[in-house]
Amino acid sequence: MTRRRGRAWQAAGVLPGRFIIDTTSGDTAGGPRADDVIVLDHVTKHYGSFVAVEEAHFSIARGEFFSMLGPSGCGKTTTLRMIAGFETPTSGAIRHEGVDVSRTPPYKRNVNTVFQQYALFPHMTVRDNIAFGPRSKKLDGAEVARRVDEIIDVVRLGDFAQRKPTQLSGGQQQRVALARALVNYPSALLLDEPLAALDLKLRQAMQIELKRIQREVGITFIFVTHDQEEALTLSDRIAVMSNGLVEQIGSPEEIYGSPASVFVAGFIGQANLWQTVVEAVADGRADVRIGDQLVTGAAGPNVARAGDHVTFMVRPERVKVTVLSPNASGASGSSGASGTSGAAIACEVIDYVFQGPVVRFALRSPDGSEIAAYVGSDEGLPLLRPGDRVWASWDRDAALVLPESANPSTLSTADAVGATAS
Amino acid sequence: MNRQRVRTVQQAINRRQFLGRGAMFGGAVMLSPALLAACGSDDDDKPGSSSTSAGRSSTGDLLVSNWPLYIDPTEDGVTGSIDLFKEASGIDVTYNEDYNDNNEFFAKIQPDLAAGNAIEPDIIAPTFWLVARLISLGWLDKLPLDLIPNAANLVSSLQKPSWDPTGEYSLPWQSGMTGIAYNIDVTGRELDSVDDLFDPAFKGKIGMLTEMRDTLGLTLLSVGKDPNTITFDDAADAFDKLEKAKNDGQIRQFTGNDYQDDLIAGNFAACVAWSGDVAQLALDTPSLRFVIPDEGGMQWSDCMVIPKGADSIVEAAKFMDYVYDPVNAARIAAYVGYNSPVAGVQDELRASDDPAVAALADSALMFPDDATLGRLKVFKSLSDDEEAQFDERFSSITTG
Amino acid sequence: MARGGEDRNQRKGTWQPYAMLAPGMLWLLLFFLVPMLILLRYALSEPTDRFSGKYELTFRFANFTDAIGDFGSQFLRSFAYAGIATVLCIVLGYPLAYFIATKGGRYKNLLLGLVVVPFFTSYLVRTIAWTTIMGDNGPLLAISDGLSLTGLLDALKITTNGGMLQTQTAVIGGLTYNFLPFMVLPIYVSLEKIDLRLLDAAKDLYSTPRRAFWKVIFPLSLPGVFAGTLLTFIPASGDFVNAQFLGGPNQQMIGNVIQNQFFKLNDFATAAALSFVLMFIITVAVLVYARLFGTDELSV
Repeated sequence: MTRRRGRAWQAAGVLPGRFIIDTTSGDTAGGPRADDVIVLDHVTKHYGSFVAVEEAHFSIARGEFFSMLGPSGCGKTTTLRMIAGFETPTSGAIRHEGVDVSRTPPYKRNVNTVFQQYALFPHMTVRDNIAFGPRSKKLDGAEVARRVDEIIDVVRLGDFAQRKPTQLSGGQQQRVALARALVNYPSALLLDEPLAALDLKLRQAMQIELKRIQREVGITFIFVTHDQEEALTLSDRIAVMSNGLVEQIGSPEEIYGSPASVFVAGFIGQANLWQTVVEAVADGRADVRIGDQLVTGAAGPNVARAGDHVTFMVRPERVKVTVLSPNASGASGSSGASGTSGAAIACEVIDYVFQGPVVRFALRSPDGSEIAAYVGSDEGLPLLRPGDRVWASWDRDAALVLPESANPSTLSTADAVGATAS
Repeated sequence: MNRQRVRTVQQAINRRQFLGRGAMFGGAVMLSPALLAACGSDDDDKPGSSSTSAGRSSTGDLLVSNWPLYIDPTEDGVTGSIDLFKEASGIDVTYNEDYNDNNEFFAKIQPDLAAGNAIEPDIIAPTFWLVARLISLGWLDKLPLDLIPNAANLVSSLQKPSWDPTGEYSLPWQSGMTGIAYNIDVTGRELDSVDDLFDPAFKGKIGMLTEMRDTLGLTLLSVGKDPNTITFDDAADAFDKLEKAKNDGQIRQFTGNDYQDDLIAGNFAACVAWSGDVAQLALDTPSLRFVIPDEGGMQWSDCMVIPKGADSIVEAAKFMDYVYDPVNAARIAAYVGYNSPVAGVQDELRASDDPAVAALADSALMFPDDATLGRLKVFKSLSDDEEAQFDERFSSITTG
Repeated sequence: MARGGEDRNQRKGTWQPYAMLAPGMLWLLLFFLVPMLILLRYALSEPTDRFSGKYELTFRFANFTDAIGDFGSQFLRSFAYAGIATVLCIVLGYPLAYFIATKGGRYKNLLLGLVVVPFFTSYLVRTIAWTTIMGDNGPLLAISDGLSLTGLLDALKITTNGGMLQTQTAVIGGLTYNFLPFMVLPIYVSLEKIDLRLLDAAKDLYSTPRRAFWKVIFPLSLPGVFAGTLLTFIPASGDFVNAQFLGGPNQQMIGNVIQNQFFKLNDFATAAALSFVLMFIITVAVLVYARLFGTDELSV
């Protein structure tokens, strides 16, 4: 079903990235540019009848920290392996620094990979592991030593150079894997779920470390992960993938704030979602009905006319909870597409969790749907209990109207994070 | 059923008597067969009488260990000698063809016999030189010749032979000649000399036997030494000749009885061989020939003996008596093709209705003429020390 | 509670491992150590006379020096044959194991089964079968004659005078054939254990497939090669069956000599001394080999 939707976009001549309003560089559209380090030009990969990657068409800029994010089996690792050279595209082309390398074996490509379980050579010392690449290139001994010393410094492994990988902790192994790749001065560093094997604390420390190293060496990082938080934390840009398709490419803010599809909305962060039908479209906004309430939101791609089946989305942290109606008149007035304010819905509190800076509410709206709301604990709300009546409201800019998802099960972020790496 | 029970009782009595005697008189056990044999000579004209068998160990069954393919089997609807003997005697014979090599068989029985324990077989068939060793070690019982009237049929040339000067311990099973077998298809010419085995034209295609007395015997003849009177020092030339041939790759392999396979397969052009084997093999492979070389050949006998402590003496005697009947001996000889030690075999064969069997009576291999017999030598009976020297030197060549 | 559990574990720890060891230790004691001591006693004894089977313990250490002095060439030959056979087993077995481990796919078990299938036949029968195959009128020579290769093979000393049976080629070939599975299986196991992503990693780091193999896969499979070498070399150097059936008098190995001493010459003292010298040399060789190429660090 997702696939069909993808084709519909292409049929319309529109790529997901086009809908993202760029707030930083002015051009983060997915389409390749000639001077980018890595270019994927309509790349498709089939295994027999199974489509692993379809029509991946984007480029990665020099010095960029680029993530490919998606659940297990979405095609992100296959894409990475095609960039590395371990897989050959079924159709389309991959260009490194403007050169078509689609059929070039990995050992002739100037990119290096940090593998998922690091794949360190267990029979070699840390130093020999790191020197492996330069020695393969037949660099002279002094140059090899210079480079190795330099990178060992960058990853702060000086005390462990003579150890074998099995004598190192997970984090240290991680640094070796990084050093082993970076010592080659690759035009891009490919990282395949490099942090997945680490525990939470170490993972967070390594995220910071990765970012530091990337800034220090200035090399393009292409990072594959299924952890949306990791992707948001690290990336300059994120490509969200699902079922072999690139759903959206954009900065973390864009991906989070303006998801191009229900899948992206659900996969990145939490979202309140209602399946509904468009009542009216005007000025890039669409009116939809939740229960008997008419609400409005920014219209996503393909939301063109009344009658379209769509999903209405509001992030929980954008939902305001008030005891009194937010409308001065007190009326539950309609706020159509022409209106300026958002919606206000009378709800019942069903759950209430205090989490320090944030209070998490679970509310039930009159039509029976549940609304999640994260409210700052400094907003001075009175102590509420299940059963209390409150108002849920949001600014209309906070709401999005997205094309219908046929795949509601992908909507839960928790599910996606829980899934194993692809 | 009844017979079974009787036999068991009989067996029990004999055991008790045996043990009793042993306990009371110690060494008497060893002497008794001799005494009995002496007594037996009086009873020669009363064969198989129950009075003479009394007091001899008897179990009703019999275990014979002999060389492979050394008796006519029951096959193709023809009943073989063992089954005929079973029928005639009622004795439960187990006939094992597990005697493959004198030294190996000796190594197998040596621990038991050295420790004074009986071994399982009641009759074994070692080659003459080993018989001599077993006699000197005291590991044989004397034969109950009084129970073997047909022993009188033993040909005169084998009576009281060098390896058993009193003739009390052994009866030859078969005798044979050691000569040269060759495959004329491979050699391309007739052979008539031991030196043909050393002809470089047959380099790597010559087989020799691991039986020292056969291989060394022929080599001694080729260097003009008499195997019958040889000393270790005198044998040096022959040993050197063998060693050189081995080192030069002239000798392909030292084998046991399995030389037959290599001969048939064409791996051997010529080899030291035993007369009876070649007689049998030539039936299927007409290109095989056997010759007693000009320098002479070796003669040998494999002999039935009773290892010390065997408990079926009466049955063993009956078996030996049976196979020394010329009729039975002729049947066996006709199958194995060796030289039967039983007088009258030639006449029996000649009288056969089957022309093929009758023709065997004129076989030069089975009944060599006096001229041939005159060229045959029997290897000297070596003393223990001599034998040790010979064996060691010989094995240093075969396992070079 | 926790305290009690700990104590109980400690108490268990004192005797349970030993109790579990006991059957094995008893086995080794009865069927290894005791026979070894008996053998050692023979090796230091002299026979009272030739056939009595009685040996007097005279601590005749000359048995050992005699054994080496008289049979040095057979020792050397045995180790040379076993060594060459072992190298051939590696050369033949490694690619086979590599193929099965990496390309076997769903036929892995079938292919491994085929490697092991000859074991369903008796060792003796398998060896004797080669006498037919390598015989002067056998198929192997027929093929080489047919291809007019026999002259070349003679020049390469693979055949001798156009014959193959009863040459060192035949003995080494037989040893290689018979011990090949003992090389293939441990190498297969060690290759199977290797994370194939290491191959990707090496290629990613600019290694050609050839360099990736020699720098990564091969070193990591060395424990298998090491085990296979021991499993091949040790039994091959003590083997006598191949030399007996496939060799001639100039290809007899130390196993044949020992067998001959035990079963033909009844010289238990020399035979036992030879056995000990063989064991000693093999033990030293294995220790040296383990020191030089030992890869225990890798058996993670």
